[in-house]
Amino acid sequence: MDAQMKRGLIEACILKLLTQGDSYGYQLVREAEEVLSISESTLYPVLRRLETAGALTVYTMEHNGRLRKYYAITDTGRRKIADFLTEWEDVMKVYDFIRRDV
Amino acid sequence: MTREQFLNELKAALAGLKEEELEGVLAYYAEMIDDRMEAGMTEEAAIKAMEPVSVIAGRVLEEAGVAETREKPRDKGNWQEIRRPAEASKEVRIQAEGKRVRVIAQEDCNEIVLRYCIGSADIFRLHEDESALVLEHKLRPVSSFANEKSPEGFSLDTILNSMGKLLSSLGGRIVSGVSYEAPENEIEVTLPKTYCGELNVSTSNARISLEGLTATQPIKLTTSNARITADDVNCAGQVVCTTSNSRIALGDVNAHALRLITSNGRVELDDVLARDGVEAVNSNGGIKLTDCEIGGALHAATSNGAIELDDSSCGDITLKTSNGVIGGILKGKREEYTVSSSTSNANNLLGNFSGGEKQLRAVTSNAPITLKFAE
Repeated sequence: MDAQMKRGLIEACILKLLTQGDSYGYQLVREAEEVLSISESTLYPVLRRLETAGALTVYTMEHNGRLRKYYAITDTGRRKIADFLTEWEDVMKVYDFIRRDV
Repeated sequence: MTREQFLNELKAALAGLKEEELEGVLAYYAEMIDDRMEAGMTEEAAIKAMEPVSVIAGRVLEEAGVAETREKPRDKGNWQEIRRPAEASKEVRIQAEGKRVRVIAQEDCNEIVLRYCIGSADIFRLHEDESALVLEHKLRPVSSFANEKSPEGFSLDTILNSMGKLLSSLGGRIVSGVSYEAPENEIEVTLPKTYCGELNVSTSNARISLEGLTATQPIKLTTSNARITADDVNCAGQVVCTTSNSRIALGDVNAHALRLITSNGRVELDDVLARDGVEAVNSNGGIKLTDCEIGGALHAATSNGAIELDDSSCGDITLKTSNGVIGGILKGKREEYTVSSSTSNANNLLGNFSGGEKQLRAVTSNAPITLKFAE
């Protein structure tokens, strides 16, 4: 898959996972893995970008005597998902067009 | 390696990064290791599950580099295009470091076209004679261009990353990706629709894609830490794909034989026809065949991953994994096979029986065997 497309898909997937509740790095990698292949080193910049864009917030909580970072989706993040879905409707139209009579 | 050593190596590899960034990265990986250990892995296994320090550092530095130079207009770069008659050499060989390689085929074209951009970190050499057209690419040593603060060429997804940044909003603009422009970190190889020479591509830490080609000679694709994809490919010879820590995905491929090797990734074959057998080797990842027709023997071996055969037909079959399900639906009748299968700590629905001419061996552990015959 084209890298830039994949990047957009990963961002949207991570945001989608966060709509199911706050999560942390390892859990996100495992859950995202079920949909698309993603490694830790791919996830890190995605989280950073989403944080910078205000699509998620980060907080630290104690877990088993150590600190763990949790990620929570923001309204901006939810809007990004909505935008993604709207824009992909256009992509799907093109897809259907290209696919026709092939 | 211990957790401590891993984090120290990572820290060393990220020297030069802003303190705050560095701490963020180290905390992230420390947490990943801790969470894996909490999930039951040993310290060693948790470290092993991490990507190599060089890969992690590459990604992080690349990202940081892009952020620094985002505002600057990007150098147009020094584009090269090399055209040669297709029959001039018996082989096209690309040997790159960290550059993506994309091979495509074009109708009504009888030339080999190589397109690439010479960035500040790139050294290209072209050798050619009757036996081979060889494009060799090397990266200058890291130290010499780290000082220049030029992210180009460092690693190869750099440009795509900056493109991705421009495409901050997702979908709609992706359509523009349809009119493809080669990124600067990519070597694009265009071959005739039917190519009568060998194709041999090797790179590192960057992906290889192959699309739309019919080849009469063997194809060999080798990389590391990145995926290999082949789509709509016909090859009268053997196709060999080797990578690590990533996926090998083949769709609509028709080859004489296939040999696919990776680790910590997945091997996915969809609509693949191989007249003389398939060998798929993986570790810590699954192997999946969907709608495949394997004329010869199928050897699929992995560990800690499932092996699935969906609507696929094969000759002799050997499936070996551990801690993973062996499942799916095999085209053909039960009577055609002599089956020996075993697992531990789980159900074996396949069982053992003899009588058929074809051999089916399936071995796993700690997971069921649910492979069925379509009948």
